[in-house]
Amino acid sequence: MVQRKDKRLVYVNYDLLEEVAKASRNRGETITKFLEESLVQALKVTKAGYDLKQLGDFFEVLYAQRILGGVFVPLEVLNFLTNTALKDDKTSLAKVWFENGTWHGRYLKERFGDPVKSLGTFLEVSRWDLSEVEVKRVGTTIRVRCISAVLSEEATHLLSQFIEGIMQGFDCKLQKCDLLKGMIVMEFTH
Amino acid sequence: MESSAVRRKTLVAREDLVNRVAEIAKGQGCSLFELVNDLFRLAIVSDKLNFSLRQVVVDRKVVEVAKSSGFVLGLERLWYEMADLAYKKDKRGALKSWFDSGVWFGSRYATSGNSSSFDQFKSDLIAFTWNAPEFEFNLVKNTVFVKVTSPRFTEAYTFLFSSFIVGALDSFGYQLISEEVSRGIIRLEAQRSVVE
Repeated sequence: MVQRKDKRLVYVNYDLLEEVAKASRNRGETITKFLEESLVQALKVTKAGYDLKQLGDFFEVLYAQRILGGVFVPLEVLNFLTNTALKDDKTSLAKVWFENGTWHGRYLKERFGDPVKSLGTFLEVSRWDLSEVEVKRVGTTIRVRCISAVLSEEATHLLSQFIEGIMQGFDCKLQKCDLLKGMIVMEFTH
Repeated sequence: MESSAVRRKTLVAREDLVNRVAEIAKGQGCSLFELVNDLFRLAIVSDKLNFSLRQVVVDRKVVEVAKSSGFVLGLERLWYEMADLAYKKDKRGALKSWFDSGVWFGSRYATSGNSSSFDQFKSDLIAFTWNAPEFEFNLVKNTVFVKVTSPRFTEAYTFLFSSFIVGALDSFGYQLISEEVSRGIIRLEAQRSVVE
């Protein structure tokens, strides 16, 4: 396999080459340089313990977040904002979360071929206060399950409103909703 | 697993790199061919979004650091609306909450014992604040100048974010000596006393 002393041949899928050539041209690199840079990044990805396939989904969702105006906020601050903003007026804040969810859902529906899958990745990428996220199709039903040991009752309710909004953006209707502090189980149908 | 019927072409690359990635593929139970194709697919997706594969990896790291720093990622519009509501209902409490979070965030770096902790703090905070097109930290001797500009910040969010930065600087021993904050604009000057 060794072509020269310090070079080695690598097989690649022929069908990918045209797009790879285009991508390398966009970067002003030869295909060889582009391949080597990709290999270097693969080493970094593996060293950091990331999965290459998941990294693609992750990046698309992160990109969507940039487009939608995603912002990092300290969790403690978010909890404070939630509790303070909720004082005396729970309904209007829940409405704000629902409306933002709907807006987000519309974008995910347009942007991703499988918006339901993207919702799962979106929740995993953005809500680290959730220890478990499950979004799956069971027949015609879409089941969303989120678990968190640190989410307050109010924050759980607001997140459920946000998810309901997103699903409405996907044109799905809520069929069942079980909420407990730190636990959301919702079912939707098209 | 990629079908053996897939048409293949050969490229050449540095042997040491290929060998290391081949080891990774083996460890993951796949072939080098499959791993390279996955890499190329990711590179193609990122190129279509005008990002390099390197940037994808950097962004993944930013999110990881944000996560370990206690940040959550959410919609700007939603956060701003909540910040406005909280600021209106309890201005002092909201400012304190952001200040305290800033102290906590800054302390993670300040107490690390690393000589480049302030640089790391700056770099991470700027990376997290991608919603501000202008974010500069300039250190001149024992004085730090901070400049943040974002036309999208609401008035409340600007004051709250400013409080966060002041808290973070406080954890490094910098005391505020001048402050100019108005909607979308933060200009801070803070000084650290030097022990002779």
